[in-house]
Amino acid sequence: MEATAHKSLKEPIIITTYQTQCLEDYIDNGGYETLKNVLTKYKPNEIIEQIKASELLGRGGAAFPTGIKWNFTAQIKADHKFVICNADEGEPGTFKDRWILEHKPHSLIEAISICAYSVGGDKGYIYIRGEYAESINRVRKALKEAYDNGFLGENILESGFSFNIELRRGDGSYVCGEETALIESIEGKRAFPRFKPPFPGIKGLWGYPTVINNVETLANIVPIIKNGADWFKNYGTKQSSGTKLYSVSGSVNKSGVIEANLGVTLKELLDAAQGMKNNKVFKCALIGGASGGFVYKNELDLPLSYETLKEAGKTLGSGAVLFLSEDDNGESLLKNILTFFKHESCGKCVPCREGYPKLIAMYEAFLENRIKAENIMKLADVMFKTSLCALGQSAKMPLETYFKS
Amino acid sequence: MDIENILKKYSKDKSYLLEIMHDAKESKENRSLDLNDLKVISKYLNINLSAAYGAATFYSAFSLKLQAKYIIRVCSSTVCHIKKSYDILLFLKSLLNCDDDNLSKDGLFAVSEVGCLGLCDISPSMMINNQVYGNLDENSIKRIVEELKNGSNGT
Ligand SMILES: Cc1cc2nc3c(=O)[nH]c(=O)nc-3n(C[C@H](O)[C@H](O)[C@H](O)COP(=O)(O)O)c2cc1C
Ligand code: SF4
Repeated sequence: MEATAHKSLKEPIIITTYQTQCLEDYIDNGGYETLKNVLTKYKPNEIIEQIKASELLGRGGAAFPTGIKWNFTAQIKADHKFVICNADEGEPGTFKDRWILEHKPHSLIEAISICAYSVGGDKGYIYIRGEYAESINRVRKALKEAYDNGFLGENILESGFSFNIELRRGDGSYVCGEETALIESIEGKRAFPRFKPPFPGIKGLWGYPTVINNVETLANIVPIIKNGADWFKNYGTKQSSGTKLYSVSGSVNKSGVIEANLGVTLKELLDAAQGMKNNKVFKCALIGGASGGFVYKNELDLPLSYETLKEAGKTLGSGAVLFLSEDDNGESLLKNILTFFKHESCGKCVPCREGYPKLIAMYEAFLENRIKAENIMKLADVMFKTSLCALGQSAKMPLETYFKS
Repeated sequence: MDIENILKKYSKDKSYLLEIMHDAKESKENRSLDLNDLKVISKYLNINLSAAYGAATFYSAFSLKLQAKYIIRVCSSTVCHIKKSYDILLFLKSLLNCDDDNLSKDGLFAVSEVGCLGLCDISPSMMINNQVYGNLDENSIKRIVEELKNGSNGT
């Protein structure tokens, strides 16, 4: 897979290798030193303070502050606590977690262990979608290497801290990436999202406090602890610190993962992707995946950070950037998106289950000039307000930003 | 490996349900689960048969219907849609003479359309069992299918 650091980055945080790091390579590059320092020199709350100070926001889509999330779980007394790495990456157009899983599996093991030490967790899970066969192989191998060499298991690095991580495979369900649905899935059930609150940090796997973080979020943990929160905040914008792995695809010359400062512009990403294919004219980009929004020519200079996109009524989401040219059919793309959500709806709640088929019928009527866009938006808005999980809320953004073109 | 041997790899922890189902599916020539598998698995994990059945019918990776030696999953989401994945799907179905259940005439292939496979950098893409294929066109598809039919690519 093509993965590059944007030229404006002096030193990438995540894309620091071009091959898979086996245990030896990882250790040669300073791997597991941070874990050792953490276990022997720091108190759990000192680690949480560092993560809070870094202002790292969750990279799975919802951009919740990671330090605050860890702190919730750390504060609770419980017989068990869990840490889950969400590697179910299913948001259409997103493939950055796959790069991390395939290239830096040990950085995830190290980060999950650091998280467990900080919040008092005694067991971890890496939940990978079954379609990611290569990622599964690499992570499985890395787990074995870590166990065989004393980086996981009993009395890690002779620190007195013991911790286990197990792999779980999903397969063929988008809603499984929703954190509570993922927890249900680990419990061996159908992946129906749970009602929130209580949030997983308070009541998660088997009812115990559970930290659940995205792969890319976790990939930032070791660099932050190693180099400090201030170093991390040199990257990105004031309100969105750090870098982001943008999954760039579509009608461009070079698709791939690009690591850039949060706040990089769409134009800069397009240049890094070597421009539009066959010199076609840029029409728009779908940012944030199927549940994201369309961004147009007049917004090419918009910085791609969490706050700027939110202000513009859009979302950065997972950081997927799908470039469309004048020849690409946006109309049929929108129908594809609605059909995707209809198919992936778990059916637990009425607005989403009944809403999507109706939305599609209305969209078809709209294309035949039989109804107005505002009629569709009324339904999308009701779904947004009343659906149990974000899947049912997801139609609003692509529809709204498409109609506003 | 038969189901009894697969169970030996796992403790009676309910969270192994999907893992066991994955292994059971992989061990079958036609890559589908049957009711008997679910009975054995649910008894082992001490869960209701209905719970195992519920899970097996929720995740589209599992099927209680007859599948095939080669399961072809054609990505149909956003990026691949833009790159004309629907044409790829139709081409495959006609190349393989698929019936209404999307099984090929020779019974070797089962074709389905799936959500994003995360292979957007090599779109249009598909998976056959655990192998990924990208930058597809009619010629490459013909070649891949031929190779599988001749058994030169055992995935
Ligand atoms: C339908 C749906 C699908 C999701 N898929 C994923 C996913 O594939 N990966 C992921 O990390 N988060 C996904 N999320 C977000 C998770 O619920 C959760 O916010 C995230 O794992 C938290 O991790 P973070 O704080 O590190 O971002 C999804 C949410 C919804 C509603
Ligand atoms: S919004 Fe959709 S996916 Fe989410 S719980 Fe309701 S029916 Fe299920």
